[in-house]
Amino acid sequence: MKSVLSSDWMRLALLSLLVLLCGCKATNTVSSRHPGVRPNAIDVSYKVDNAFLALELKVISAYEEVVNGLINAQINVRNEGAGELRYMWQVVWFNKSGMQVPIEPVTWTREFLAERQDGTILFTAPTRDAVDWRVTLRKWERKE
Amino acid sequence: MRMPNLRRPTLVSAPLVAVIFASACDSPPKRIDPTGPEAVTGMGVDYGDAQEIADSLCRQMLASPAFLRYQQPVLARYNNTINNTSDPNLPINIVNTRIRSTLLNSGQIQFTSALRTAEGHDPSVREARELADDPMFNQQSVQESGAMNAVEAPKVSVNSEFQSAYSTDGSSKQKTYQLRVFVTDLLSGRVIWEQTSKPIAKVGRN
Repeated sequence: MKSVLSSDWMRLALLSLLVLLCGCKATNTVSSRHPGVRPNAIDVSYKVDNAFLALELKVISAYEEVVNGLINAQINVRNEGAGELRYMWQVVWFNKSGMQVPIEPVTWTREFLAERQDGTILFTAPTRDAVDWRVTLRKWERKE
Repeated sequence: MRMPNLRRPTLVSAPLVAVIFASACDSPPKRIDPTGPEAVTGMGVDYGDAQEIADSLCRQMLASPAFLRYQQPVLARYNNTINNTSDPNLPINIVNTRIRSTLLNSGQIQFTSALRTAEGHDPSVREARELADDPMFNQQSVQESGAMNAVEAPKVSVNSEFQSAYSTDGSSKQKTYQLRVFVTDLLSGRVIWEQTSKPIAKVGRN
């Protein structure tokens, strides 16, 4: 009996410790299940050169719509790592011939995500000729 | 037996070590991505911050239905970005250029450079029309003034403003900046689009 109690207490203590260690800065999320929402999801390919970043920053889906003749895109991401995630993204656009649309400077946009937080990467085509895009993700390591 | 002079090599090598240290500290300049991770982060609005928020706001504007009521491209006047912060070193010109070029390249908006009070004023527009009385110029190549060659008046104005907030708890200080952009219909005087950028917040020690 004593050993059962102690093992239960041990489990509870371990669980509490785990929650304290991992869950301090995590977020909880509430989202609707609105049946009318039919996001215009598109297929994306995801080339992973940095497996560590891919483990932390999970790409969930991507949507596209055309507004005023310009493609509006959204990539949905989630921080699945432990702790706050600081990352940067950059988008380049291509015309129907596959040539890059010359927009300078191509800037890195900085983002934060708390632990378990969902986020979006939003971008709009610079011109009506821009029909395809490529987004690069990298960790935002601060210069000390 | 005579002992070797240990003192002499030490004296000789001391300047050498100093030179090595000095050369190590004085690293040569290198070219970096100005918006990338190597860019220096200051307490104000950096180059990358300015590009990021100006570009993001323009994309939001272009994705909105604000300009659908006009025949495109809409002719606009651009008013210089107002600095409503205590920081005199904001990269106003970077923001102006990014907003103008992003909107112009979209094909939805064009800017007039004929107005003296607008940002991007080009005196050549007026001067080119004043060449009609100048015998030095071939008159067939001179821009005529009058109804046929009149300059079009802008339909909208694009306005931007930097705003900031400052807070401190004694040991740390936080400066938060945001860019506000609004578009006015010049015929009705109504604001047809307005948005603020995501805030750029910087924390440092007092």
